[in-house]
Amino acid sequence: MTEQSVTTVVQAATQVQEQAAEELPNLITLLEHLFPKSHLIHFLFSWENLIFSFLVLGFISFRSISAARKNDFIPKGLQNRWELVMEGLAEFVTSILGPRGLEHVPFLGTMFLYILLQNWLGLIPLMKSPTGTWSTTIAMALITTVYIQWVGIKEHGFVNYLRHLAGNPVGILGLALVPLMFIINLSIEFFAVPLSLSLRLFANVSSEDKLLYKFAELNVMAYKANFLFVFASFFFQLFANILVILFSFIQAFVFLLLSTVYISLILPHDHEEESQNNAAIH
Amino acid sequence: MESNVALGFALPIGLAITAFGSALGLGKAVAAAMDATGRQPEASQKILVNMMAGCALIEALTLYVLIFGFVLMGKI
Repeated sequence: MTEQSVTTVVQAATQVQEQAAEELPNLITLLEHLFPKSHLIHFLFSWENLIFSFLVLGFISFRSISAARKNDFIPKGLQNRWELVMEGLAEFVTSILGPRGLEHVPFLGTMFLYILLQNWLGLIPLMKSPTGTWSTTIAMALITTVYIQWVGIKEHGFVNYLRHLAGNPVGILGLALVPLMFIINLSIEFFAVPLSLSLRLFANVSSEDKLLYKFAELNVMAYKANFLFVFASFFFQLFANILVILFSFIQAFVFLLLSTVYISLILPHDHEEESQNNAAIH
Repeated sequence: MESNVALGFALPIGLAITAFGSALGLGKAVAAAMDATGRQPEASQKILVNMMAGCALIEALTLYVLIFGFVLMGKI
């Protein structure tokens, strides 16, 4: 290996390190910084997003199981809070999908709570929001896409689902356009939907993390320059925190809203069937 | 002009142009939603939800540019 290639590799590695340092330090990066030679901590460092998302998963499962264990008719405490959340989610989903949308509430509500808690985890010191990386969000978006298509196949039947993908062809012109419609629909439903869902969430959360990091850096710089500047920069930090709380909630809500809308688009339309029935009667 | 100088000028200007277009779109969407709420205050909940969906779709375009900006920033 020549000397030049070694220096380019080192430069690339340091750039990766610098990009990783664009966020506030969390528990695992601190440990990595303290013990740079430990293999166990390096292993944890390479799986840090998974570790933090499993933390959120464990929290949701533990709290919901312990709330569901006490099945009182008149709920109080933890059960009361969970029922409030679940009823709000069910009301929202059924307001878009109609009363039959109740069967999609478990999936969509779990997605919403999971994303919301993952987004808010970055606000706790020594924690990191796993949704700030693309690998987490693309996984969730792909699961949502598969669920949407599965609902489509289950509701229409496989042949009608293929006809829906081909754009419901009518007549010779419709049949001639089938390949085109097939390509368009496939690329929208299997490529554009997961990409837009995941990139929106990832870009929002990662830029929130960068914002928090930059304001924390500003605090440190102000402290070094003059002690009095800290008051100004502290209020900037407070403002950024409130903004992050608000936008994390909005992004989780938008994910829920868009996946609900995609499901409502693929469900069979009741009013069309009614008008067809009316036409058959007349 | 060297490539990193060109990128250094192009990235902020490109992001600013996208933010400008996105702001125009968001302004139109929110203004229409406010008009609708003023005309029919009892439907404000539904209008708010629809407006949020549209706003998220418009806003996403700016964020795509932001991602490309961060990706290209590694090349400066």
